[in-house]
Amino acid sequence: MLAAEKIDAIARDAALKYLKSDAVEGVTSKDAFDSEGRDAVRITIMLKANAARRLEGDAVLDALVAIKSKLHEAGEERTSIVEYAETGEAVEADDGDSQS
Amino acid sequence: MATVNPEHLLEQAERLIDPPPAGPPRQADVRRAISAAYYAVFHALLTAAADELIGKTKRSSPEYALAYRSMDHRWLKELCAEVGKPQPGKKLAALMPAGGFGPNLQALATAVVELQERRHEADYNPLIKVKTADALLAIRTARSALRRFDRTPAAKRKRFLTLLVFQPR
Repeated sequence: MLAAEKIDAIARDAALKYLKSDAVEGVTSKDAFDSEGRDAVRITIMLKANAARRLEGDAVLDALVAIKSKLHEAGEERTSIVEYAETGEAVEADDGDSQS
Repeated sequence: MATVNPEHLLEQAERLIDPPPAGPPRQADVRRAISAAYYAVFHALLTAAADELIGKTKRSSPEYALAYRSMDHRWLKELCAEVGKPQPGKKLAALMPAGGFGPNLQALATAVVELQERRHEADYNPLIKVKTADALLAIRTARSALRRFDRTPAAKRKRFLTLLVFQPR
């Protein structure tokens, strides 16, 4: 199991390579569980405001492949779950009202 | 005869995350968009496998339906997890095509594992808030994955689809 800082660095390098610095705000990771209850690591790629719409699917898929293969090469055995968010993005609150 | 059109599922997903008149899209819609993105890939692979093994001209036949329904999510994920590895396990290694599955199919396989995981979360996890950006990029990942599948050489595609239907014992 890699340290969080190492995971973040690997994922950030891959994100910057394929998604470019004008889209990527930062990358964080935390321990999680996958759909089968096994240990996993959740990686969040934070994008700059309104950057998602500018990203091509091929670049996003290449970033995903690179993150998973680099983590595997570095010895991370847990499943990685890669998700995206945008700075300042609003989401529906629990009571149906929006919140950022 | 009506197989499920993967592009229609992706278009449905895009409609679900269209901005509403006010506020962000509903969680129900964003979550369903991620689910639709996964199912687009799932049904594309089911159709490809049944077409390969039974035949496109037999899409209305009972045997086509049998082949289509024989594939399940769990084995799809296991197979793709192995295909996506630089070095698959011994059981699959013995069944790989010459030269391996190639980067395009490996990219598809990686996307399948990720999208299935995301679909499970979107459908069942009450603790997460699914972001619109995330759903949008899941849709684009799914489209890219299907393009990679189409670019895979026919022999490698056939081997993968055969393994999808006939799980090695």
